[in-house]
Amino acid sequence: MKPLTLSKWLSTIFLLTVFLIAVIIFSVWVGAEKIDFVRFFQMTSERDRDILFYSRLPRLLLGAITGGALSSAGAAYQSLLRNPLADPYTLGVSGGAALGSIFGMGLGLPFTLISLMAFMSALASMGLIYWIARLKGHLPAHTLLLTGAIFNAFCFAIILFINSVVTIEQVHQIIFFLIGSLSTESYQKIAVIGGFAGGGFFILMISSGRMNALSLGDETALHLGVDVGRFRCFIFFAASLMIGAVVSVCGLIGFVGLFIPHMVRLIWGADHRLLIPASALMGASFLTLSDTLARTLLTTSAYQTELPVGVITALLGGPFFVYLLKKQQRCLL
Amino acid sequence: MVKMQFFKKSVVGGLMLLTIVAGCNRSQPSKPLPTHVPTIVSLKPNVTEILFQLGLGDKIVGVTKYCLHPPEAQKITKVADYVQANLEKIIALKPDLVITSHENSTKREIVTLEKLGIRVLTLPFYSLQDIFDSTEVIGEATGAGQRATSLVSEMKRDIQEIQDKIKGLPPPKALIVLDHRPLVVAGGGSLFDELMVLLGVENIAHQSKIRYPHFSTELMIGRAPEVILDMAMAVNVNNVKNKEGFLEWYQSFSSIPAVKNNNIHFLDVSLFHPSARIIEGIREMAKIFYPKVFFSS
Repeated sequence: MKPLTLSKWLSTIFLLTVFLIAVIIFSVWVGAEKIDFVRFFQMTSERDRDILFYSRLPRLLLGAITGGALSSAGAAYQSLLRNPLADPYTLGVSGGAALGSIFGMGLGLPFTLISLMAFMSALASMGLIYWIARLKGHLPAHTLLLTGAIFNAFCFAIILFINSVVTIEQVHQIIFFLIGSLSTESYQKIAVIGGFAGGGFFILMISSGRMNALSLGDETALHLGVDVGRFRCFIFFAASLMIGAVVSVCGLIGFVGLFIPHMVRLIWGADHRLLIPASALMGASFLTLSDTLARTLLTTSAYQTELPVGVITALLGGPFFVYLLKKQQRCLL
Repeated sequence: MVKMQFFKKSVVGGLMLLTIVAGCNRSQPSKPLPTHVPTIVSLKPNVTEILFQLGLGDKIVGVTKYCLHPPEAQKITKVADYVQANLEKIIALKPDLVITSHENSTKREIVTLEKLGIRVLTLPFYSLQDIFDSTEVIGEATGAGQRATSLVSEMKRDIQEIQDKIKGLPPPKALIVLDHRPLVVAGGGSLFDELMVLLGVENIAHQSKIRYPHFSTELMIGRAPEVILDMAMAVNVNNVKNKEGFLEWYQSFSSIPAVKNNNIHFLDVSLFHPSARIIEGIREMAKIFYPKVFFSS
């Protein structure tokens, strides 16, 4: 592998940032309602202002934050567990965070407490799954995924239990949460989520060098001066913080955290100093685009309905997951 | 595997035996029309309401958890919730008739009840015509046919009366909201849309083929409704604080005429249960869309 140079880092990040900005501009431009930008810049139309600043922009900001958080956390999980199939969803962390938020919803808690509960349960589930799947200091891939799957099923069982004892209004809320969708939220809420996700991302960024060491194996990392146990906990903490925050608002959006880091790795290599920020930018662009599709595909037709963004990400991500598995199988032969 | 098959066989056998035993208990398993006024189980809130409106309240032996109208209905044994019906309870009540609607999630239970020889009526309630027809069918099945016919003509007369009052008035542009996040509205083909057409109101979601589409907030802003009627289940019409919370959500879309002119109204969605109660709902709706017209109740 060619070593990462500063110019490669800068040019890649620059390219991806430009791409994200382009995606955001495109997404602001596209929508169910037509906007006259000439009229808009003359600041005469209240209608256009509402559509842009109170309907489209908050939603695509939320999409970008969520996509970035899911993808960079996914990249971190994959590196820490040295497993290509690890992502917040398959590991069960998202399921845990969902359980926490739904528990909070059932109790009728305010939003900040729900986010906190989502974070705590994301962290607890990661810890639990790690503890269950660990075998003599190793994390066998199949055990880990199996544990994640079982843990997800377990969380869903409890969610369905909560679902059957709450009021009918809450049932609706829970179902939409499980489908996973982006909707227009207030800027305050987006700022809170952005804060959590940004904090987590900062921790991942300053740890990306040590993640490189860790991907060479625990022993090598130890020789390179990394306190492996503590470092792992630290990263799990940061990633779970991000997952908890975004899941508490958007519900369960699958596949983004899985296949974006892989795509980035295939194109730009596995150096975490580049992988982490590149995944974040790519994930942000991908989810923003997916959501633009989700909110426009059927709104201009006779249906006039929006799709949950989870439908789009799963439709694109599912086949990719299979491709990844098949490719890995070929390598083993 | 063998164990599993044995288990399956015994379950099937048990069910068959149950069917036979239950069949023996009845002299005539599926009698088309009972001579006496039958005992009834209602699996839908609106069916319970219709039964009470036909004066058959005392014949109801089982209702759902959500049958809250009229208040007397709440005292009757609960045999179902929104999602499922409790088969054992229904069978134990030995009803002559079980009534439910097409829009239900208890289809499997209904098949079992029919196998046990219990008469089940599954009726449509998608439109006003459906409500009229289904009310008459219930009347016929319960020996209250005449009362049903007069109830239906009374409903038709009341609707006509409301329509006469608003004739020639300029039609307002409106939207009926049923949930906020995601935004669910009454689209074309829904009962609400039919009522809006009836009242000469322009539904901005009328072109949607889906009855309850997830509407885009930008379509709501772009099509600028003059009146918003909010019937989301999470809204508690009797709780001012709760209503204020939802009003606040609308405030960020201040360009919408309904928001600007404070023309957002909340109604209890249960007023629109497809029974004769809907007349009250239509009247409340008319009051909101045509505030200058006086409607006597």
